[in-house]
Amino acid sequence: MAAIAPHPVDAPAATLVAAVRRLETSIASVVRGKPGAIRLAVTTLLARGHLLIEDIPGVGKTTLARALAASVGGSFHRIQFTSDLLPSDITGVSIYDAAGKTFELRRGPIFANVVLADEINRTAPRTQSALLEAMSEGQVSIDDVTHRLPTPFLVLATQNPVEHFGTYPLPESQMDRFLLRIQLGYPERAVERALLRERTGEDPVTALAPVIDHATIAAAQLAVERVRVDDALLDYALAIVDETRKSAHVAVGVSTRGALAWTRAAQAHAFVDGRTYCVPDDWKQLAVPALAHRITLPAAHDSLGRARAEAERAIADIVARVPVPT
Amino acid sequence: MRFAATHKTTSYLAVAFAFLAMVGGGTVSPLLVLGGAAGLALSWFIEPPRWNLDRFAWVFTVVAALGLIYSGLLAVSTGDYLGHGGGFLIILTVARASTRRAARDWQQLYLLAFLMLVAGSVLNGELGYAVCFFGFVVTGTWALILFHLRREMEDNFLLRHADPRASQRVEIRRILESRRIVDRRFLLGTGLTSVGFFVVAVIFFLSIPRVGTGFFFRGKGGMHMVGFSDGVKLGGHGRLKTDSTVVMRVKISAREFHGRRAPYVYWRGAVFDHYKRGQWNRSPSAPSTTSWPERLPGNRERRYLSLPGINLAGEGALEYARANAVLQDVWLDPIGADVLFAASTPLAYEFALPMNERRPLEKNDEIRVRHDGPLHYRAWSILEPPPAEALAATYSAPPGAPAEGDPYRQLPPEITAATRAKAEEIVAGATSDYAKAVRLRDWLQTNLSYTLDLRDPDGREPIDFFLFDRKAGHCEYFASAFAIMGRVVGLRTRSVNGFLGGEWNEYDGYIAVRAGDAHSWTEVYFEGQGWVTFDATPPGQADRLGRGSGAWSAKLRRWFDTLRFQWNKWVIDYDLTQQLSLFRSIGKKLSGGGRAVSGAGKAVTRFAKRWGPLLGAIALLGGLGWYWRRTRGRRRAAPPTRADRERSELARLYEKAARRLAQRPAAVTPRELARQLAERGAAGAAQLEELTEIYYAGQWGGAVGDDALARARVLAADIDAAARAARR
Repeated sequence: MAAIAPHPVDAPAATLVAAVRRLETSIASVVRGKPGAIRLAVTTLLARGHLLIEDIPGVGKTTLARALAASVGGSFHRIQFTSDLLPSDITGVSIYDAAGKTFELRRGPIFANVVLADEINRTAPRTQSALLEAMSEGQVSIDDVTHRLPTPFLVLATQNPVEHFGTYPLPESQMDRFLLRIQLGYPERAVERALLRERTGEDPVTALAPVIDHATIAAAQLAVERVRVDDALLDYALAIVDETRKSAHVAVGVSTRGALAWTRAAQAHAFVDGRTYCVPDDWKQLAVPALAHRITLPAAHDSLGRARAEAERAIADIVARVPVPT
Repeated sequence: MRFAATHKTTSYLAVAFAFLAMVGGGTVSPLLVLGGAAGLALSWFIEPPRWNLDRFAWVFTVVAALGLIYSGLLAVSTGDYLGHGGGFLIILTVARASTRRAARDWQQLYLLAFLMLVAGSVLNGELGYAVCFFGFVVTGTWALILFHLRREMEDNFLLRHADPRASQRVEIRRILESRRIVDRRFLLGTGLTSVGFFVVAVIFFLSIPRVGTGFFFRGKGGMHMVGFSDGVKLGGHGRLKTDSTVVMRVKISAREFHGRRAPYVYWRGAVFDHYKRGQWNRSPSAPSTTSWPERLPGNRERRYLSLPGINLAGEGALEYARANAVLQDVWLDPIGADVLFAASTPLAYEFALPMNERRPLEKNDEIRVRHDGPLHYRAWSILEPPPAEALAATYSAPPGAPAEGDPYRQLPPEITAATRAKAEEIVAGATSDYAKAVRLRDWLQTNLSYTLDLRDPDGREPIDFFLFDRKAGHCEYFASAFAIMGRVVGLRTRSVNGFLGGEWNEYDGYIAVRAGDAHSWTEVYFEGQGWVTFDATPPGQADRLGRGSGAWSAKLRRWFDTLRFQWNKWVIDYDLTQQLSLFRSIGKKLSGGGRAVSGAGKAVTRFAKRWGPLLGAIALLGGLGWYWRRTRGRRRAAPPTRADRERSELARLYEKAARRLAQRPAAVTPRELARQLAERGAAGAAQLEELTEIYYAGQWGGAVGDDALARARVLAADIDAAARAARR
């Protein structure tokens, strides 16, 4: 993995796809038995989005984030969100340098290629919004100075759906900033056994080397935007979006921004799948991860998990009845 | 449509149709009908969440028990088991509909509705029954399908919850509220299927051998209407009504009696010989009808009347009748009298013998058959009266000939001297009986007027009152006055009740005789010529209802009457005889087919020579127009490219191959379908997965190239072969 030739921006799609495949393989060597989740994570990266992982602790959320960071070969920061975390703890502060009589910027952990925002719902809303603003703008403002964040820039936020004491659930408008929301879930029995047998104490992530360079990622991100989308497929997507707005099981349906994000995700998904054109399956497979966190349910639910299950079923029901274009 | 609401609506519709089918005959007491309808309507709103049913259940149990006692007592005391049984069914249905809770209650409701429908088949012989029956077939099918789904779902709930470990939430409420189970397509498709079944059932109905309805049918026991009555009583007060209810439909063989301008026919029915105090009766001394019966197959009988002057007894009678008489096919509704009607003067009647019935008393050349339902019979009549010269030449009894012992010359003592003197005055100088009869008739027609207003004679002799005081009356007065005055001057007369004329129904070619066509006239006996009809009522006055107008409302009414007629003829009164005649006519049509084909061939050739070029040009223009419309959209777009052709061929290949393996639901993508088939291990699934990807590339990705297209063809062929092999 030593020699990775940088690809020009207009590199042929096949070489880019091969690089993306390498990235997937590299992550999969550490995160076992989760090809679906890995693919969605890579899709998010290529669509220039951010990923929300909702799951209980100890199923590999952090491992996934670290493996991705290690394989991409960039800086990686982890922010553990707590109730006393301040916005400046994320973005950074200007510190007066007495010797030079100037303000010197102390960059926060947000300045990294891959940021793992752990248990994002444990911190106060203003800290959350600092992170989310950085995610959507790709830049942070400290003392009236705007600083661009490095590229590629990917935030993997995690949320624990079970606990709800002392948490601040993300408001719907903030949820919209995440391209996809996924769960990891427990691995299969066989995978888990293999994991127990082989894990000898050494952290396997440390053994990972970068398999793709940033220029290639940028080229792939550009290529994703050129993935062909037929009008009939857009109509299909809009028909589903329209259903979420009309459904009796949904209070507020998917917004236009949501539909746009879904389409971008579908393009990235097609590209990761090795195609230069979208097919109906791209939308269909991404419908739940891309839409379920963007709708509001009519009734309030006592736990995040219940609400998520309800929303995902509403989306799945709609997708299961809208005719596929042929 | 919400599932639960649709199920409830269709179920109530089915029950309502059954209810209407039963009560439409009018035999169930109106109190129960109204109460039942109100109860059913109220029960719609009694729903478990709103009402605590357990608290009210006992009310309905008590109601049902009381209903049973009430209906049982009534049935035993009146002997009308069926009618009161139907009433009890209504009570049970209301009780059940008001306490419905689970699937079982709906099931009982359907059973009750079905029983009502069955009861209706006997209680209701109206055309409305057919409509209700059809409605029940369609709505009942919907209701039963939805009921089945609902019960399955509720059973599933019980099963799942029987085992606490595997307990899984079956969301009954959510399913009941779901709008996705039933939609317009479900109702339409199922409704059409029901119609199909209905048609098949009708074919079965027509082809399975049947006995007649006389045995089962228990109609309304005769209509009570203004019009014909089996007896005459002069007097009374008020105004005669004109009732346009059709009581008899006659298909008559002679074409001169078809149409609205055809001559009036006197439909002769009850005949009376004895007059006393304004009443006409049949006296015990009147001669009984003499006739020669002939038994026919199928428990039918033909009876030839023995009429003076026309002796039809024995061999050759039917030939004579065929040659001279006019055949009438009569469908007579029950009118509360058992007399049969036929055009004057009837020669013979043919009818199915009623089972184990005593023969009614027949007098004065009447024919009577007891019947509760509609009756179909045939009659032959001579419609042409004997020529006037022949009648004038008959022997006339000398004046003052003794009348004792002759029932047709009976005169009650209360006939006033004025009446007698008037009769003598009118016929003074007349030499023959015929001349006397004509003079009397003409005098009555010209000097007295017709009215429907009745006025009571107040104890005076009615004929005297009519002749000298009121100077106006209805047909019974004219007929009675003529008969009595005729008897005064030595004629033998009798009074006849029947119908005159009727409305011509152009749709099915029959004469519809209405209750308001009832009429009264007189018959006079002439030696050697028999009884001859004399109508003393001023002509043109008696026909109050007319022969039917050309207005569209009248046409519509006639058209509906045709429907009722067909219903009575082919459903209510459908029996073996009709069945045979139906099959015979079908057979005739089939055998006639060969001849018809050659004739039709010639006609087609003639037609084609004359109109062919024009029709061909129209068809060509139409076809071009259609093609242009179809292709216009495409023409306006860019011309089809190579990629488009590739795309459409791939789509065709894919669709055909996929259909060989499975039916793809609209919301399932081709890739998902292929994966499902592969997981199921279906033959050809691997090839379909590959073909799907090529199809996707063509459909959504643009061009695929010749190699991929060739590969797609191979794959499609492989899938076809695999599907074939799997089927074997």
